[in-house]
Amino acid sequence: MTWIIGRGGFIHYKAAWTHTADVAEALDAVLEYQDQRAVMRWIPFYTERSAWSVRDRARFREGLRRAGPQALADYERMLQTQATASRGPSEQVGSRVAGIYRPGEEP
Amino acid sequence: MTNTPNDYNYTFFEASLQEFFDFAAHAPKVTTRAPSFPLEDLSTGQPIDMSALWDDSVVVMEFGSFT
Repeated sequence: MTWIIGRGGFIHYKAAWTHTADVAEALDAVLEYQDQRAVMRWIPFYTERSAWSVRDRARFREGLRRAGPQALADYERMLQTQATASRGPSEQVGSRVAGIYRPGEEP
Repeated sequence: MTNTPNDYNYTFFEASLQEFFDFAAHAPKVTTRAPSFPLEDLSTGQPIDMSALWDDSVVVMEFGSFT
């Protein structure tokens, strides 16, 4: 989960699962906004969106190894939990977008 | 650097659908103000409020061991 918080505690960005490029783009925008507040006539807007990324599995595994054995163990446990859940019957059908789960919604 | 289980504040991470639902529905929303909470400066061991960090600069918070 990733948060970008500006001055006064203003929440600019919130994500459950995301991509580094998405976080970087959001952070660049926040920094530009704060740097140019005195000279630009900013007009705020709000969006919600879903997005996609392509995972480089080898690089992802390397990132887990760099994070440490706890990260590796947590990830393996998550995979096992998901595999078990997908085999069993369940009335809970949530969104297939990672990070957004609303009980009862059709995927 | 090799992390040990003692470096984390939980035994193991287990995400449930309900937790993700709670995050989406009940966690602070974008365009609202984040609550402040006490932190520990790891370099000094001194307490510091979260709000002190965003007084002068932008804060990026990342949670999760494998995100």
